[in-house]
Amino acid sequence: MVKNMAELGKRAKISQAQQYMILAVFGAAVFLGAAIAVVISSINKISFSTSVIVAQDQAIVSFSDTIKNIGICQKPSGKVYTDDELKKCSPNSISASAVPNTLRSNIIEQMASNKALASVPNENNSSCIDPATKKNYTYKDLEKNYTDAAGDDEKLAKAIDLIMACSSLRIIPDALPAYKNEEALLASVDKIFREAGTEPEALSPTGETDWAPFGTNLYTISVRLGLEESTDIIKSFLEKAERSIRTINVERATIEWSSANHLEFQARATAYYMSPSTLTIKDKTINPGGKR
Amino acid sequence: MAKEINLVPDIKDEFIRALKFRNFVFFLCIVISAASLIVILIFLGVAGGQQGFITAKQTTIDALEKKIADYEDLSDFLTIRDQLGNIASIAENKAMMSRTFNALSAIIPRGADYVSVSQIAVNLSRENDAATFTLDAQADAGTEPYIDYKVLDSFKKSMQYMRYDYGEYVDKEGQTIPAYCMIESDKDGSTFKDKDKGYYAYWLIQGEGCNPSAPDEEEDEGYESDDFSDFGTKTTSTSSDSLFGDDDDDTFGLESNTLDTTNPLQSVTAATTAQPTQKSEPTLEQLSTKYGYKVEDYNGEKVVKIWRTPQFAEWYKENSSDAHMDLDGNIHDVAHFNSACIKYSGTEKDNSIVWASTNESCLLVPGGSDGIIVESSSNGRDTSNKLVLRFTATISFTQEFFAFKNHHMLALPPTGHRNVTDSYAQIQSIFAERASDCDQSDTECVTTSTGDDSIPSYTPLNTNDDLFTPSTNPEPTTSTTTDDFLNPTPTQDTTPSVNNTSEDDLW
Repeated sequence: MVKNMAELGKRAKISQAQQYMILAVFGAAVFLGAAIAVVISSINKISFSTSVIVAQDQAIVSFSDTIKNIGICQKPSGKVYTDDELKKCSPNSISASAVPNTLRSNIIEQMASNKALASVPNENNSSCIDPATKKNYTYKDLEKNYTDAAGDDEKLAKAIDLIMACSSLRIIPDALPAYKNEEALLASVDKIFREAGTEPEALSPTGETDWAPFGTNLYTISVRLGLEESTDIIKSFLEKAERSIRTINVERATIEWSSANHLEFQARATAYYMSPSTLTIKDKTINPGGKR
Repeated sequence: MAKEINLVPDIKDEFIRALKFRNFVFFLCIVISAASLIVILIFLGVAGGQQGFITAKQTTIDALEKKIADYEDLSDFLTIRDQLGNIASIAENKAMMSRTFNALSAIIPRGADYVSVSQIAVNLSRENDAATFTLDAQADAGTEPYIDYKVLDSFKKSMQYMRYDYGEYVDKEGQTIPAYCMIESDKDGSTFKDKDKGYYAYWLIQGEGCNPSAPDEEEDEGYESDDFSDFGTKTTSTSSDSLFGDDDDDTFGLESNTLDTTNPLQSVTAATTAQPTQKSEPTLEQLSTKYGYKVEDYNGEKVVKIWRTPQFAEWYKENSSDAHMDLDGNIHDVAHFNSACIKYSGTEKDNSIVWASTNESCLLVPGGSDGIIVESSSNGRDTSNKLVLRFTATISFTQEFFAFKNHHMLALPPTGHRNVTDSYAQIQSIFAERASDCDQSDTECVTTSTGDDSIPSYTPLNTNDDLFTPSTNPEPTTSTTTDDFLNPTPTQDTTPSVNNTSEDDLW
């Protein structure tokens, strides 16, 4: 009887131990399950966040390259700008010489001082006359003015405006305007006629504008023109048009006998203009599922 | 042998095993739970850390974006950059309509066989594979029978011999001279040509940017460089800067009596440059010494003559340090023309050098005889009442001939056309009033055989409205091949020397 009692006690303890085991296993399973759930969720989140971080890194490199290549700030010590470097950067107050080999310095220092472009006759522009010397600003004057203005946003902006208007850079908007202006084109063509020693019999816009099949943001604008003149005048007109700073592309023409010493010339000339360029910042959407 | 006796009761043994197993399971559960907890913490930590990274990077991005947005001149610089790129693209696609006249002077026969053009429609659009001339013309055989398809035949066959040439003029250092620094034709429009020595051009060596091998300082300073210090006498000057600074307007010193006083810009310039400076022009000899080239005067311009046609006899000197040309046609140490089309070579024969030139790649009408399509023809009478063969034809030229990027372009006619010039008078003479249709009562005109009935009757060129409509290559409804209508018997003009293999043939 005693022996049975002891055996029963033991069995009860064994059963109790088994119950504890089950509880422990249940508890461990709960922890494990929770861990697995958290791991799966975290892996997804980490994966997504990694994609976001990679995209952010690319954006930082891209922004840094843009800032560096344009010359908005001085070159960074590393590949990308640090927060300190950004804090020190004042885009409107640094001179082009502080950002060599950038778009800004190339345009201000090289294009603006281009002697071949400077040889193009300067249109009278009173703002290009130095009040101190009463003479046209030379590029050296403009450059000094610009360098002296470093650190002063307002003065620097004025100095840049002066360079744009008075240096070789003034040729660029003449060669390819950043806006459509039929009247200016007609005036240019008319001027070429007069320089060739004649007047147009016909000169009118066709009203057609179109995308140019080449170039960036480039549009075409065309005019019809006609004249009845001697060969030398017609050829002179064409050669002057071909040498014009603003491209006037005569691609289609008819030439017809008119009299013993005159030809009738009718043509369609194409000129170009472009829309102003801007920097567009694009958003990139990254979805947790991996689709961008 | 001893015998073991198990004194532990079975139930106790079972209990001990159960406890051990329980302890093992407890241990395992604790380990698993702890590991799970650690993993959870790690992953949550990583995820949280990433979020911190993302926030920090976003702050950096915002700062970078703000720097770009704050830069006020950004749009201007980007626009200028795109303008420069587009200007280059436009130049690449620009056509030179003025070369039409040079091409016409080369292709239109002006010998015994005579072709006159009454109207020509030119389409140089780069959208097409070829530049096209659609001619409304009349052919005159000059002798009976006046209406003779042999004229048209020779005109058509001559197309395969048409060549062009382009390239760059270079100084004796081999540096390319800008195209705008060259004068290539006289006041009458004729390309400079010496009847014995060939084509040449004048180099405006003193022009802005025209002397590529000259040091920059020399170009800047103009006559004030040290080398010119003995030219003339500068009696007074305010300062070297005011007179000879970088400003182009006063590089050579303005004299007050040459100024347009109505021009405010010139007036103020005059105020500072009115100090009299007497400078005599340097002599041609002095300029020649200065530049190292023989400087000549051409219509008041100081120029250097550069031969486009190689001067074989002068430039090739065997085993001489003074030689400027070798037998492979390489030219050096003399200003010359680097042709992109013509190759020269010399071979020794009977103790003399025989020079040959070839131009195999630059075909003006790449299709040759097939590059011209005669669309229609008919009998007619010109304004002097002579019988003529009226025809319309379309000729397909290579686009390269009209491309702006190719400089110093010259159409080269075959040998039979060698006396042709491209003077304005000559060009004008190519054009004539449109011949009239035969009057039905004009028996001679009506009954003269055209030689081939397969050619459709004459129809005048399309009107200008059609010209200005963008079009593809012309595809006439009826085309005639050489075999269709041309007399197989060759005429004089149909047999020019083949392939331009000699100097004479080319030049």
